[in-house]
Amino acid sequence: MHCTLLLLLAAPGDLPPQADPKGNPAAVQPRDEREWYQRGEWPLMGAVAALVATQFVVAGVAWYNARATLRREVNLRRIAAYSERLSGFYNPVYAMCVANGRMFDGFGPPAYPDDPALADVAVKLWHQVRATIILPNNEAMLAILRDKSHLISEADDLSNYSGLLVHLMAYRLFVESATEKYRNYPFPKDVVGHIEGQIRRIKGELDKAKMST
Amino acid sequence: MAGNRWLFERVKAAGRDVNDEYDPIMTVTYRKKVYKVYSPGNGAYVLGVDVVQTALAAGATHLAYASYCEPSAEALAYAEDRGLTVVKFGSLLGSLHAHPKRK
Repeated sequence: MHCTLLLLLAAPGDLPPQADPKGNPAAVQPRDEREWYQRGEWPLMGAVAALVATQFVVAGVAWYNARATLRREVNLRRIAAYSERLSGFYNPVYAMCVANGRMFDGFGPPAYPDDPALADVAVKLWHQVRATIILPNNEAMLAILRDKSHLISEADDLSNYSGLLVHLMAYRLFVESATEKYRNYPFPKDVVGHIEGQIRRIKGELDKAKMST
Repeated sequence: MAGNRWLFERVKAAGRDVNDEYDPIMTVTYRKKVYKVYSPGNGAYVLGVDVVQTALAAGATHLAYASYCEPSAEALAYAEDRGLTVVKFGSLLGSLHAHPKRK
């Protein structure tokens, strides 16, 4: 661009007066019939203006492209963050809460038969379910709450899971040794609805981010 | 509500000397020993100190529970301290030799 400008500045904007071929300085110069924009400094100014306008357009296009790229990048990062929140925290905690709840309702004390004669079988089955499903799920949830709480969304807070956290820990103790203190840490029933709400909200944001990419 | 009914029917069917009144305490005499039994109702999955206190207040010597109940550590300690025997239904029926006979 600078080279072009120098060339344009070096080039004369008007033609130099032509010498009479016969050497007569008083000879009448032919009338300049060029248009106004071809005379004087106008060609130079026109060239400079065209150059500046072009540069503005180029800069505008570059700015627009950079902004679009930045937005796309931000959106991609958002998509990655939302997906990680769902897959690393909300979905597994929700799935394990629901699974444990169904197992408790289906095999646990609420499903015990009224006839004590059948209780032995029911208790044995429940203890199997507890050992193979409930407790491993609880440990997995504890690990997520402990190690992946950074995935909790900005609109949510770890304190919403403190009830679940202490319940999981208390249940671990209760299974080892049945203590009445466990009654102080019941399963927080509202946590499942809370997680459902968070999943719905994050999925909505994820869809929005995908649409605008 | 005490849950002695199931136990009462088993003991009666075994021909043991049991009072017809079984709520809240079922009284069984077997080999010159008197068992005053209290059982928590269905739905008491964790047998706590409150259940032990109810049994003691009713004058029980034995607190019997279905195998789906789980006595808490606190309840067991409290009962032991006050001389209340905590047993499963099956153990009590075994002590009374009142398990149903196999055909």
